[in-house]
Amino acid sequence: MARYIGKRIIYMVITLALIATFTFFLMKILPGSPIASADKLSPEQRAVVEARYGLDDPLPVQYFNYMFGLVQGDLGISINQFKGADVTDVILSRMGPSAQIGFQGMLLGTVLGILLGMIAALRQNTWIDYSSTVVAIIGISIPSFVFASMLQYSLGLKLGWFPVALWKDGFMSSVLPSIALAMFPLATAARFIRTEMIEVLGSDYITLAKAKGASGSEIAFKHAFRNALIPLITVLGPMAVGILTGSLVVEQIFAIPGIGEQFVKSIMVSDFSIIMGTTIFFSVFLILVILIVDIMYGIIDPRIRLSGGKS
Amino acid sequence: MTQNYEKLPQGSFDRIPRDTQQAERISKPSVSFWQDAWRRLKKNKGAIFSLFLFGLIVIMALLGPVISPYSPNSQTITHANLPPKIPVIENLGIFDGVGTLGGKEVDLYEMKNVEQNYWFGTDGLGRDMFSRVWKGTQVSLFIAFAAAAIDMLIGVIYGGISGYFGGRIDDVMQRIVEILTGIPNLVVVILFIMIMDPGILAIIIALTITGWTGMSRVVRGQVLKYKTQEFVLAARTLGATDGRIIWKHLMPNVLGVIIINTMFTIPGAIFFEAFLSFIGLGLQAPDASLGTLINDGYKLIQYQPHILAIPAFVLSLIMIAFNLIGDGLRDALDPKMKD
Repeated sequence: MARYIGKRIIYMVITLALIATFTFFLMKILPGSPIASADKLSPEQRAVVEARYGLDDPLPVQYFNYMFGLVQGDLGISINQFKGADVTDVILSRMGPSAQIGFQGMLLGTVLGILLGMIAALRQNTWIDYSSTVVAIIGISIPSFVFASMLQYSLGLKLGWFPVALWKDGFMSSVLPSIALAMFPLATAARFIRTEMIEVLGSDYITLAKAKGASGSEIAFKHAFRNALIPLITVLGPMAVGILTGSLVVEQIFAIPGIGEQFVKSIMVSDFSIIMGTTIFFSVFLILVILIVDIMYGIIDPRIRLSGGKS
Repeated sequence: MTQNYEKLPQGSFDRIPRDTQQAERISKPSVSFWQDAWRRLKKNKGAIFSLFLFGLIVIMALLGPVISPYSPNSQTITHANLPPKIPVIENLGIFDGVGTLGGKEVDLYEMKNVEQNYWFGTDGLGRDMFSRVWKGTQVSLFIAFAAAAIDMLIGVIYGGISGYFGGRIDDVMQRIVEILTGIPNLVVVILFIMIMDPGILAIIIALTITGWTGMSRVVRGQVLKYKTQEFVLAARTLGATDGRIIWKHLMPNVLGVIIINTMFTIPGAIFFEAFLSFIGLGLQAPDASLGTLINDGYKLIQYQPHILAIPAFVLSLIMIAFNLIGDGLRDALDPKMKD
């Protein structure tokens, strides 16, 4: 186990170093200058600005400065959007709303999805089962931004139940974005739990439990549900990816001051250091989630051989 | 029982002699794997309906811009922001050209003196939405199919070589894949789009740059599973070359998985294209895809919801159809389920 975790962490570091290197050089060959209204500056003024941000150093020096700062958690400074603010601070200050809607969406989605999948499996081939399958297919198929704009138009604009956009009304502002983000985990969990539950319900130990006279609800919760739940951990990784991808557009649609909205904005104004910082932040987040999921799975289900080909 | 038997008239039964030649005859026609899979797929109503629906969408994507009297890019400013109006159906109270103006419901076609009918309405520049939506569908589908085909090609070759030759080659190739899959797809796609000139080609390259790893893993797993089986050993003993073993013996077995995987890559690619267009990294005007149309429509959501609703609806239909076809194929191609 320890060896496996060690190996995974080494891979993680290599991957991150590659991503950071890749992003750095990519940003250097990108068209457009990070200095606002660079065209209007005289060559002398430009040189002063470039010197200030270390843009006049030779490329290898810039690279090592950047990587060295990265190890210490310093992602550089924003050049044109926040006028010299630390990228790390910018990201941290915007983490609250993103984390809140992401967490709420994930929680709402998985809980509802588990319930839906469980009911569908227990009432297999009834209308409940079919409608839950339809919900799951729709949830996986309809992109979050389509769903988010539908919610915004119907519940926000037409019915006025929730704020249409912005982050001003505390919890109420977070309701619609959370629902929009919840659709993907909901659908994934419902499909997954249904398949797992049906498989478990057909296994020998359930027949044994029935033969011993366990009641229906006891079998469903104590025996079937618990065992169906374990493999759900494996889809937590893809769910987190889905939430993060979704957050970029959902935050944009609901004008939430989060990391996703910030990222899209900095792409528009080519604020390189923010783009690099956010990219690395996203990568660390996703890679950590997947690592934790894999380790958790190995601990909870000892039948899984971690050293095997499983990823 | 015996008494009843004797009461039966003579000649009710013929004695059938045992024929040793007949015993070896195969009474049912032999069903190949693919015929069997097709039979199972036909039973899946959702998948068949989706196939039909998808066929319809493809036909409309090809014919739509042609049968519409308006070109997707021609602007008629006086006809801007018209809601959909379809003859015959308009009598039902929907698609009748009525829209809100200043909070009141009015027939905008009458108000603006528009004689023609725009089936899906027009956008803010007076462009016909009907031809634009189908043109956009064309572009979106092309991007998705091209990306899926490239993913398949690279993935199959890479995974096939890695799995078949094994050993050190496999080791090195798998380490590369492990690192590539560690990089979040979202990050790679966005970064690549940024350094390339925006356009169809850029999106396809960005989607395929790490997209093939999933396919290569699946193919490698399957090849590993089959290459140690007896039929491969038999072929090798009979002197078959590596190429022949791969093409004639392994490929047919791996094909099912490749098809299933591709069927799930396509909706993924459609989603990513729309996603990129929505955050402004997709196609540039006047090119239109479903994603850019949704993005344009979103800006007018409050007053002209149809500009968003129609492309969003078509996009959702394509995604649902593909997921259902993929599910159906996965069940149909599963060799464990045999009729």
